[in-house]
Amino acid sequence: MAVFRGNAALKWIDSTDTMTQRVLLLREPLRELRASHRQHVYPADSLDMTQRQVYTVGSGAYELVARVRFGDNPQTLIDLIKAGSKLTTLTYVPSLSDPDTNYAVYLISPLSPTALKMDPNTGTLFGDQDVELTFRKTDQSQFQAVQENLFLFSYRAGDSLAAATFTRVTSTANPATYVASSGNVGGDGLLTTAPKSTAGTKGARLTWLSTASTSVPMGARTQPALLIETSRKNLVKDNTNLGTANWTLVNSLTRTSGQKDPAGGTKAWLLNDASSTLVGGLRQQVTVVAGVNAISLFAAPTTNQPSSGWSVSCATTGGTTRAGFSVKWSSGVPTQAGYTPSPSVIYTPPESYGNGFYRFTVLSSTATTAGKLNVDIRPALFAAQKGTLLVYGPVIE
Amino acid sequence: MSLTVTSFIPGIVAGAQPIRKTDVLTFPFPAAPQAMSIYVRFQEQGNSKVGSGIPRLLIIGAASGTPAVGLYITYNGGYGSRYINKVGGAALGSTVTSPLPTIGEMVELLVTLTSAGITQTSQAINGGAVTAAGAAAAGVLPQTWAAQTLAVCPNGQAAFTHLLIVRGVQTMQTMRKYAGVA
Repeated sequence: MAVFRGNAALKWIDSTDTMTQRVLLLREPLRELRASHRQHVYPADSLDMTQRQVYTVGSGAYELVARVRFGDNPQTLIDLIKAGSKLTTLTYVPSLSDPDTNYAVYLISPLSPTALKMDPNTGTLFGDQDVELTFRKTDQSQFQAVQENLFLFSYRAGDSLAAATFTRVTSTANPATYVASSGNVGGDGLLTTAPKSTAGTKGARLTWLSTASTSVPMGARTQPALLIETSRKNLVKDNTNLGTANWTLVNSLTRTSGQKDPAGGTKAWLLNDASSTLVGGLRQQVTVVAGVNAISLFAAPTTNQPSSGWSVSCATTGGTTRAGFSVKWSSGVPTQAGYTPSPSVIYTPPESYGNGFYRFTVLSSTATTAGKLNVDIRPALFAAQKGTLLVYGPVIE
Repeated sequence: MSLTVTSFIPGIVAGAQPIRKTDVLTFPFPAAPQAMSIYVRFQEQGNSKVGSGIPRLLIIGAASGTPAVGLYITYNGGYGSRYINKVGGAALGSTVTSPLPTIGEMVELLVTLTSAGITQTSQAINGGAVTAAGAAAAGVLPQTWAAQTLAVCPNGQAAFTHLLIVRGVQTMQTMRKYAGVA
């Protein structure tokens, strides 16, 4: 077997030695890396096994189990174990060419007295030796990735962010939401408001995504993802309470509160256009700056849907439509289309949420100046038709 | 002005216009400049509609903006890598200009940096064929990055499923295996 030399090393300082530093150059980086955790856990089951209690002490410590193979410097390897047995801090460097990537660890096992084994491949031929080591970081934190030798960084949605620095100011005036994992039939998620956060505490949002689809609407939520966004202001006031003075009723539309909403609460509203001669709507006037606006809205079908569908329109006070869309329901599934007259761009296919709601999105045309927009939500597209619509959470950003 | 639709912003305070604040996420990144492969898998959420060159999907060497010496992924006519190997040096770039991802699509980006300091970007959309951009010009690897920091999506938005950085130049297929998506 050919002799080879890697670039990994274990280093430590032995105060009893005349050397300023001790180094064990490894033939290759530690291999067979396995994540481990150690904690005192005391479980107890009731006699009928219907109840279980667990008592834990502290949060435990993360460890890494690894093998040193082809050890051709057994005496220094034993000195490493001897030093580790005295709780000397060891430093593992997977690559000496990248010295700042290193891990300060304690040796958990084996502790003296111990003996090395002959390496199963090269032991009898060359006298190389082998030992399995268990390390614990000096701060008991996680080893970032088990394959420390190869990975420089690893994060999968759902992994811990303990090693990261995360901030987002969150409060009732500065909320942030994500879609929780599904508890509903059909894979629809519920909107959830992220807990308040300060640096280093909860608040990084794990959301659940629909798989990419060219069909309408998007598919069920099966993919967890870490959601990172920039700051946005919702220009609509009281978008979870459509009964305030910020909302006006157009042409005898009526509204009823207390409906199930996509966040698992009852803040959706039932809009009812009972007129067969006028188009009823729920309106709010918002002030926008020059540029493009993104408009979104949650809606769910009812048992009284007009065949023409329902619509949303955003028009200036001068009557210029800057955005709009219409939607028809078929067996609870929406088909979103443009709106005449409107240059709107449908941003994404409707996305399903909890309690039968879908989120509809559209981008407006570009406004050259700031101004006011009348945002109208209409349960029936045409004056001759009547109908109802469940609505929640309009946003203009 | 808002060219993108973001996560729902509820009005909790009566009569107020709620504001969702910015997510800021950084990791320590002590690894020295070396041959490496960066794999990012995410759902496109609108970086393609924000001003060209502004979004940063990932930055090595700074917490935001443009690192003095670093490597970052941006969107400027397509997703691409930018490698700056010295203070005041030009950004050596490799951008995939076609196809361009649309909102809601799952995007995989592979950015490689060779030991000679050549960066190249490859992209796959919805698990499809891999499209490689032309490699950038070579720039000698610096001794250190400007900061031992990895910033995730400053000035942009995305829903990340995987972020991996591996030693050496790897293929998309290999990175997918490491990520567990293949």
